[in-house]
Amino acid sequence: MDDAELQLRLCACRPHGQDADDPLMRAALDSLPRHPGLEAWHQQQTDFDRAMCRHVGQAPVPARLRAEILAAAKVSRARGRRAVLPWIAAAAMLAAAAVVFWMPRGNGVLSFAEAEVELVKMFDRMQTEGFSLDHVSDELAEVGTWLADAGAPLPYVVHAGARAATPMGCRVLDWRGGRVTMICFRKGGDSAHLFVLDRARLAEGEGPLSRDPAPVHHVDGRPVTAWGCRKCLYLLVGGAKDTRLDDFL
Amino acid sequence: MDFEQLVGEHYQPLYRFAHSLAQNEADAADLTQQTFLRWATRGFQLRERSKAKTWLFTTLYREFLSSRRRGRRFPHLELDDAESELPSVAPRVVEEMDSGAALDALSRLDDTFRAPLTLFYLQQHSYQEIADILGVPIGTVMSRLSRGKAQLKKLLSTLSNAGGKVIPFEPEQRERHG
Repeated sequence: MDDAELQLRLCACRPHGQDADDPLMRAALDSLPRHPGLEAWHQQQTDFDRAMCRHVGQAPVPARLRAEILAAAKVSRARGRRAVLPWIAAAAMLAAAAVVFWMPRGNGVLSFAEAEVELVKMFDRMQTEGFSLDHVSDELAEVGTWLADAGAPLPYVVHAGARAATPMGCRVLDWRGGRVTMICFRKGGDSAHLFVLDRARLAEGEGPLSRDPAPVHHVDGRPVTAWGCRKCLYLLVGGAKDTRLDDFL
Repeated sequence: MDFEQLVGEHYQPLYRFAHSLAQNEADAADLTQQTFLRWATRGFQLRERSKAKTWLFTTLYREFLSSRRRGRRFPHLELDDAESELPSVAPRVVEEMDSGAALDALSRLDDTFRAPLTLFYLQQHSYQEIADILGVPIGTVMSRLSRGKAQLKKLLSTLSNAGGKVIPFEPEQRERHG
C-alpha cells in the first residue's frame, strides 16, 4: 500500500474508532507505523475530523421539528384514508352489483383453500408494488380499537407469538366486495401478516374451526397457517419465503 | 421500533444532513418530514430493521435529488484532480475553530463533496454505507472524502484571509523552512 492509497483510506476512517474493525481500515491503520511521514498527518487529520464531527453534531435543529413530523404523519394517514373513501364506495357499489348478479351462486361459495391462495397472491402483489397501512400503531389493543371503529373484522384470536411480536399497524382490504383485515407484525428480522375475514364470506362449513393453528404449510412459496373461531377465519402469512412463522404462533 | 421512536432517534442527524444539502431551514425541515412520511407509508416493509437508518438517509438524499431535478437540471460537476499531498492542519486551528465557522465552510463546499462529508462527520455511517446512500462506488466515496477535506481546509483558510470568523491555518512546516 503506497502513501496515496493509505491517505485515501484513512480519510474515510471515522475519527472515533468506529471503523477500526473494517478490514480495509484495519490494514491501513496497521501499516501506518511503516509510513512515519504520515503518522503526524494522520493525527492532525483525526483531530480536525473530531472537531468537525463535534461541530456538525451540534448544528441546531428546529425545536418543533419532531412534533411537526409526528403530526404530519398523522394528518397524512388520515387524509390518505379519506382519499380512499370514494374508491371504497365505488368498489362497494360494484360488489353489491356483483352480489345481485351472482345471487343464485351466493357469496359464500368459495372454499377456504381457494381463499387462502387468493389472499396470498393479493399480498404478494401488494408487497411487490408497495403498500401503505391505514393505521400505524405498535399496540395491538389500539389496532383492535381502530378496526372496531372502522367496522372491519376483528382479531379475536391472536396467539402468544404474535402478541409478543411488535405490531406495525393494519389495513382494511377490499376483497371480493367485502372487507378483510390485515395486521402486520414484526419480530427480529421477520414479519408476518394476519388476515382476518368473516366466516360468512365463505361457503358454509369452510375454514378451520379450531382456535389452534394448523401446521405451517406453503402457498406460492410463502409459509402460511390458519385457524378459526365462531365468527372469523384467520390466515397468517409470512412476510418472506423464509419467515419463521412458528415464532408468531 | 415504533414510528415515534424511529423519529426520535433519527430526525436530528437527518435534518442536519438535509440542511447541508438544501442549505436552508425550511427545505431541510420539508425534506426530513417527507422522508419520515415515506417511511410511514412504505418503509415499514423493510425486512431488515437494522437497515432503517440507511434507508432513511438514502430516501432523504433521493428526495433531495428529485426535488432539485424538478427545479432545475442537475449540474454536472467536474472534480479537480486529486491533491498530490493533503494539506495538514495546525493544532491551534482545530482547537479554536468555532461551530459557526466550521458549518459555514462546510456549506460552501461543492455539492459533490458536501453530501459525503456531512454524512462522514455525522458519524452515523461507514464509508460503505455512505456509498450505498449516495449510490456511488466505495472508491468514489473515499476520493470525495479526501478531496472534500482538502477543499474544506482551503476554504477555511480563504474565508479567514477574507476577514471571516475562521482562524487561519498555519503554513506547513516544510513551506516555512524550505
